[in-house]
Parts: sequence; C-alpha cells; structure tokens
Amino acid sequence: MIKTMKALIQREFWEHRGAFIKAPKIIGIVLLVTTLIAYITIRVTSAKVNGEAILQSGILELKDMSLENLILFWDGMFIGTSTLYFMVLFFVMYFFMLGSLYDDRKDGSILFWKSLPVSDAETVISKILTAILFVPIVYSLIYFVVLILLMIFYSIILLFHGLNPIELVWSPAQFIKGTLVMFSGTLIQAMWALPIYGWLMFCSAWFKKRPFIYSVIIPAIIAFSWYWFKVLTSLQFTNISVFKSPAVYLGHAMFPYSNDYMGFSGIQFNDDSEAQLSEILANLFASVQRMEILYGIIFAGILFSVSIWVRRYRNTT
Amino acid sequence: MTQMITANNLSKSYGKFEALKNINLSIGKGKIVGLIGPNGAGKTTLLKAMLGLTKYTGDLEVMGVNPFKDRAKLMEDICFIADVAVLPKWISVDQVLDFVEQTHPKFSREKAEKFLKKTKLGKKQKVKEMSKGMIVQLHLSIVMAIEAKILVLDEPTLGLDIIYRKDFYDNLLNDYFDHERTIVITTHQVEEVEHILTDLLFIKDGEIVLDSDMEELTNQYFEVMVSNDNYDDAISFKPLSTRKIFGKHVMLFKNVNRGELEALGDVQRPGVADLFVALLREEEQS
Repeated sequence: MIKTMKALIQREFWEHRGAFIKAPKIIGIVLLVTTLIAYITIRVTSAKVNGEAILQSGILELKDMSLENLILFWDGMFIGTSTLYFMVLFFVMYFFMLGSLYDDRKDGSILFWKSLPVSDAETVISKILTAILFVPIVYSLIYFVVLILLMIFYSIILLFHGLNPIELVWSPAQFIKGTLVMFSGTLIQAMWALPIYGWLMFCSAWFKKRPFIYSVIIPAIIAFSWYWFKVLTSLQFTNISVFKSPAVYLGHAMFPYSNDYMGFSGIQFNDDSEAQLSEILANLFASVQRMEILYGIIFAGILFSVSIWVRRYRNTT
Repeated sequence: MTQMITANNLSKSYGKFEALKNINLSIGKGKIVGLIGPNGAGKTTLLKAMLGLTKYTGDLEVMGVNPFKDRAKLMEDICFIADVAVLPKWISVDQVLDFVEQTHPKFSREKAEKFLKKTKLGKKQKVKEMSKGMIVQLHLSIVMAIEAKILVLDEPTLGLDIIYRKDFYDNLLNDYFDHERTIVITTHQVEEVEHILTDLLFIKDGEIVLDSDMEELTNQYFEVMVSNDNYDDAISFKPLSTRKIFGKHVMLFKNVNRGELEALGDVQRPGVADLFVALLREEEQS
C-alpha cells in the first residue's frame, strides 16, 4: 500500500519533472541572473556617467541603510521572491490537476495503468497528495536553496567592495522567518486551493474534451447567472457579493498570506513596518482558522470522491 | 479441468446498440483461445468485460471473481496488452520497470531485463523515442515477467511489420506459455495465430457463432482439393463453400465421412480464415 503510493507519487514527478522541479530551479536562476545583470548595468552606466557619485546605487545602497531599513529591505526581498513562487506553484498545480485524470485518457495509456493491480482510489489519492503536499515541499526546498544562493551572491559583491556582509546581509535578513513563510505558505496555499483543485480534478475526470475551457466557463456562467438573478430581484447592479467567496479562495490560492476578503485588492500592513515578515506569518496562520477552509475541504472531499467514482466506473478508454 | 473464465447470459448495450447478446462461454486453464470476428462484432467489448473495464448484465466470473467489482485485485493475476499505443509517451524503460516492480507483487525485474537484453532498447530510452515494434517489445517484456494466470491480447501486433509480428508470437509461445496459463487473443491476422491456438471462438454481431477446440475442428471440418472430374460428386456432399484455385475446386465440408472425402481429393484441415468466412455465409443464408 505504502510502496504503491510511493511509486504513484514518484510517477507524477517523472511525468511532470519540468513543472515540479525544473520550473522552481529556473525561477531561482532567473532571480540570480537578474540581480547580477542589475549590478553590472548599474556599475557600467554609473561609472560612465559621472564616476564615483552614482556607484553607490543598487546593491551598494545597503551600505547607507539604517538597521531598520536593512531589515525592511530583506523582508521585502523574501516577500517578493516567495510571492513569485506561490504564483508559479498555483499555476503549475492548476494545470497538473486539470490533466491529472485527463491526459492518460487522451493518449490511451489509461489502459496500461489500469492493467496493474492499483486501485483507482489509490491513483486519485496519489495525485491529490502530490498537489497538496509533495510539490509544495519541493518548491519550498528549492526556494530555500535559492535564498541562500542569493544571500551568498550579495555577500560576494559586498566583500568585493570591502563591505561587511555579516552586517549588511546575514544579520538583518530574517532568513528563518523567510523560509518559514515559504514552507507554511505553500501548505496553507494548498488548503485554500483545495476546492479549486477538487473542481479541476472533477473536470479532468468528467469531460471527454477540453477540460480547461469547462473549468473556466462553468463557474463563470454560474456566477453571472446568480449575479443577474440578484440584479433582477434586488435591482442592485453594484452588488457583487456573488464573486466574493470564489475570490477569497482564488486570492488565497495565489497569495496565501493576503488578509483581506477580496484577496486581490492589496496586502495591508501596519504602519509599524518593521514587522513585515512577522505580519505575513501571522496572516498565514490566522487564515487557516477561518471557516472557509473547512467549507473548502468539504467541497473538495465531495468532488474528489466523485472523481474516484468517475475514474473507476466511467473512464475505461 | 479448471475454468478460468465463465460467462452466462453476458450482455452489454451502448444505448440501443447491443454489443454483446447473451454470451455463454467457458475458457479452461492452459488454453490459447482465438477470439475472431469482424469489426464491431463485440470482441473488444467482451475482453473489456473480462478485464473489469466495462459494466455488463449477466454473470461473468474470472478466476472466481466478479471482474467489475474487484478489478484492482484481479490485475494481480491477469495481464493485458490492449493496443500498441498504451504505454505513456514520457516514460523510460527504467521508469516503467521501476513502477511495475513497486506495484506488481508478481513481477520479476530480472526476467524483464533478460528479455530486454535481446532487444535494442536502452535503459534510459523513452517510449516517445521508440518505434511501434519496440514499444510492443517493451510491453511484452513486462508482461512476460509477470507470473499471471491469464493473458489477454487485443490486437497486440496491429501496425507492426512482419518480423516483429513473428518474434512476438514466437516469444509468447516459447518463453511464456506453459499450460498453466491461459491466453485470449483477438486479431485480424488470423493466419499468424492459428497454429498456436487450442480453441476458437467466432463472434458476430455480439453473438458467439462458433465455440470449438482445434481438435474438434479437425474432426468436423475438412477442406478438400477437388479436381474437375469429381466436381459433381463433391457437390452432392453439400460443401459449405467452394472456391477455385489453379483449376481445382477447394471445398469446405462439415461432418462428412473423411474416407468418402479422400476419394475426391486431398483432405486437410481448413484455415481459420476460410472457415470463418464460410460460417458467416452459412449464418447469413439460414
């Protein structure tokens, strides 16, 4: 049972190597390369324009920052980079779930998978675990390495200019908190995304063609019909409460640390800006306690069960 | 004899179309059964029912198990090759061996690797880089390394060139079949399998039109090369079919005394394809 599950999850990583392992690595490389390019560009252009005066822009600006601002700078760095990872992870999972029970029907390999003594429930559960647990962990681990590389990279440049990297990088950067945001964030993101994943998996099992189109159009039609029904009954055109709860899930699924109800409309911080990372962590853990998570789990549980049923009794070719 | 597969009044409809109509059959241990029929006759539907892949009405037991209810369990003892294209394109030889090794309790990796050594397949090679013939070699290597009791082959050699086809059946017969196992094959290329079959099932429009073992067939049906001189005599025995080859009449007879036929010309066992055509015609006329 555990051996089978391990093989099934391994299988997903073989099939989706590019999206599960290469993509987060590539983001890391892009982050490092753009940092390097920015540094070189500023060096070259400032040296050409008027020498020493502008040299202190870019990475070297750290030199003149107060400790408070240094902490803020590194908090911002962690939040910006982790946001990028959260977004990519969500999109990768969107298409993974959408193809999870569809791709092997399309290419006929479902008959090979079904020729092995593996139950359909095991197959479906392995895909869910991949999406909500294993890929988030892999993304977090790669992010952890990228962060270290980024900080080493900054340190080398600072050392090159005779500045102290301990003082400017390693001491103000809240590295532990930064990685904690990522590790807990990807898992909390998965909890918020569960109902979306459930819907995508259902589409993947149910539709014979174009699951992507259906996955988007059906919720859109339902929401707009509900909206028009509300408009016709109450004559309130501005009442958009219908879109609110899907937006809460979607918002948290993309930006798990957002703390407002609309998800998209921004992240609010206290004026006490020193607490940026701490506040994000607080938001993350507060969001887990919301009732929406429970409703989402119930909704997802129903759709996952239907998906197993469809896979078992209807998807045979 | 132990019955591996038994069906009683097995039926299956897709909407108004009846793919299987009250099929009764039983397949014993150690048989190699050819399931022969024209396109759309219900061959694949019947196999799918046996493999627990489709719902049906009536009774069907495969090794004492209801295949639709216990598919996952049943797959420990049944292997099938459904069509050449079913291995996933992205998987490599090593990966597919790893996966089957982890999930199938009766798979011997050692055996599979021994079969693969005889082929040109590399360990890291992916299915999408293989020809159809190579994919079948890989699939067959896996299947032959599983200690299964029943092997189901649905058009296993479709689209393969002749060398691969010959190898496929040679391997199957020499390295796999051992009279403890049961094999069910459907194919359009009847000529290639008829020498290995022990039993025949003809299916047409969802019904079994012939269920016979090869020995019975040899005792019941005769093909005679009749010269022009004996033509009228031969016709009096009411042949099932007649065709003309090189100025002689090749006639197919059922249940006629062999001695009497030998007076007319050379007597031999008819080919499965000829027999099939003759039986279908007979059905249509009656």
